[in-house]
Amino acid sequence: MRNNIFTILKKELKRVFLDRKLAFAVFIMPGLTIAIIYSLMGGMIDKLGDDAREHNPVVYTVNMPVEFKETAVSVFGTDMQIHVSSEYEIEAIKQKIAEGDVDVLLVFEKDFIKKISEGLPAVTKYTNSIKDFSVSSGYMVDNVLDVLRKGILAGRLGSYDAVLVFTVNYEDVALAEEKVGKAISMLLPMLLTVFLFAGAMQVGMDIIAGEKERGTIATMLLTPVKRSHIAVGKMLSLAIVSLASCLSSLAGVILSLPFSKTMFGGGFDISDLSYGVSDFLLLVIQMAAMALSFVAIICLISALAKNIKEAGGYIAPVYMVIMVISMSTMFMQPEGGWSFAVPIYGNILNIKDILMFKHTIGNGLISLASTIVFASILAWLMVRAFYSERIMKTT
Amino acid sequence: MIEVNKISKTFRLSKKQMALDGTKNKFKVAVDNVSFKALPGEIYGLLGPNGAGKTTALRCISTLIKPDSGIITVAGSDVIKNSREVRSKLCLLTNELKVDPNFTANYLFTFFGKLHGMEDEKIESRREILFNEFGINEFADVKTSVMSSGMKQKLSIAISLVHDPQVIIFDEPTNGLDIITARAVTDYLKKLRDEGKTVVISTHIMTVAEKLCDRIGLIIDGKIAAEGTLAEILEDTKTNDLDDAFFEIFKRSREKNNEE
Repeated sequence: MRNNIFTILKKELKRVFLDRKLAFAVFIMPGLTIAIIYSLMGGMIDKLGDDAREHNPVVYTVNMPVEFKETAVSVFGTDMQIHVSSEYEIEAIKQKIAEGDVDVLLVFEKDFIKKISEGLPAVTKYTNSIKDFSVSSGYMVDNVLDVLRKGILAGRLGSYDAVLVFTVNYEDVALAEEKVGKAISMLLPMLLTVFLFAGAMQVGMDIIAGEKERGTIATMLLTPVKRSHIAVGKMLSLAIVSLASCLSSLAGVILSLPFSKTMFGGGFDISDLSYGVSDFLLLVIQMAAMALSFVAIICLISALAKNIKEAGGYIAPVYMVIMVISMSTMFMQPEGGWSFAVPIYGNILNIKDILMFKHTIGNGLISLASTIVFASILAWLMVRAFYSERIMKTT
Repeated sequence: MIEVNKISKTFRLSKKQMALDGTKNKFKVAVDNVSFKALPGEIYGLLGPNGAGKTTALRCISTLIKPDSGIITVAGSDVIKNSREVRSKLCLLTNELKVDPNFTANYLFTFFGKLHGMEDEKIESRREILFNEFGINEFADVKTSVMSSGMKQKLSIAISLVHDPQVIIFDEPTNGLDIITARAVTDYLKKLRDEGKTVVISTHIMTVAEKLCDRIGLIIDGKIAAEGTLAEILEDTKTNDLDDAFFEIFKRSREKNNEE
């Protein structure tokens, strides 16, 4: 019995490795894609920050008090380009803000400083929320106005400390490794899930629905091998392929880390990444469990479908659901232990917890048990499909 | 030996199939109470028009589908109770059975040999015999995806015969084959018969049946309408060739159906 399953498993694995395009798509592509996406996005976020820092805000003012310019110079030096204009030019400047040529327009009430002692004079700030430089320049102008306001208050109250009233010290009790874990666990579980499913999907459709479509499965069904052994052999080979594909994704993430620090929230050192062998082992176990669920789903659909096209049609909505489930874990925190018992969702939560150093053996076991039950039910249905004359139309 | 005893098989038709058949009946009786016996050392031919039930009967014998009723034994083994044993004793050849395009002839031959539980040595000796017989050695290490249809057909036959089965079933043996390959196949079937194997073929081509079959079962509308040697059938129908005999039997069968 074992020999037959092993013979079929070997044949299916050989089939994937012999097909260079398929092998590249399954084993190299996921890691490479993740590495490229992470590196590119990390680089883009870095560039966005650098551009904002390097940009000199262009600020136009109407009725500007000299104190504003003095404050701006004291805060930002000559980086902020301040232009003086008149009320007649307001509409023209607003147009320039819309076009992105000017970042901010500040319109002060006439005799602004004088009116402060008499009442509550207003300053109107015009920015463009769809232009990044206008938004960041707007924050800088807010900063100048705040310093100006505090300076005036300090004059009234006699000292700058009287304005501040008290100081706040900010201390983060999170360990450096936990911060890295939190950043990595945001996106990585979702990407691993999606790549795991995508890898299994390509091969899974071919080894069952593809064989039905090509008419090659009938030749196997005519041998004395039990149909259940053929089904199990195919499932196991797909599980191995998808797990290998997922490990490639993981390798891609690790390789891209140096280039994508900013994407993970920045401000951390790669040396803070202190996952141990046991963490990787737990990660691989949960990934293998998830692979088993995916393989069972894909094999069942593939066995029910007449051909690859039909299988693709059935699998596409399942793929969408898997994506939604994996994305939901980016934002939601599990309510309780029951969440870990939901197949696939529980595995993703465990992966997240492992990356955040919060994993518990209990939750891990709950997920593994539910995965085994779930995959076994689907595998049983798939074996039933292999015995069905209607489904396994052989000639 | 194959013993088919009163087997019937009914299929549920899809709406598309109902439209194609021009019927409102959801069920189609493909094989209706069919019995026949094929003996070792003879070629038995199931002759009939397309859709008569020939392929369904052969698929029941080869365990791909189960008859609704009736008993079939292959070399003494029941096809339902001992289906795996039956599959180790027979082979089914059909043009619908395809070879995996991703592998070479050598790999597939070994793969199927192993699925039949054969030892490496036995596989090698069968490879030598069958590859020589069908001239496969020249393209033994070529991927089947680049083989011609004739090469694929030869390989498909060799793979089906890897386990040296006692019973050979061939559905439409010359369909889709060029004249040279078709001749090679029919000659090989005769050789197998001469070796004492039981050979059953299905065909709708009268000349193939005339030249190849020792006994013939004429199947019309899922029922065996006539059975015997070529001489017996010609005598019964008072005709000179199988073509005329078939139409005579077809006419009688339709008249009988109308009476019923």
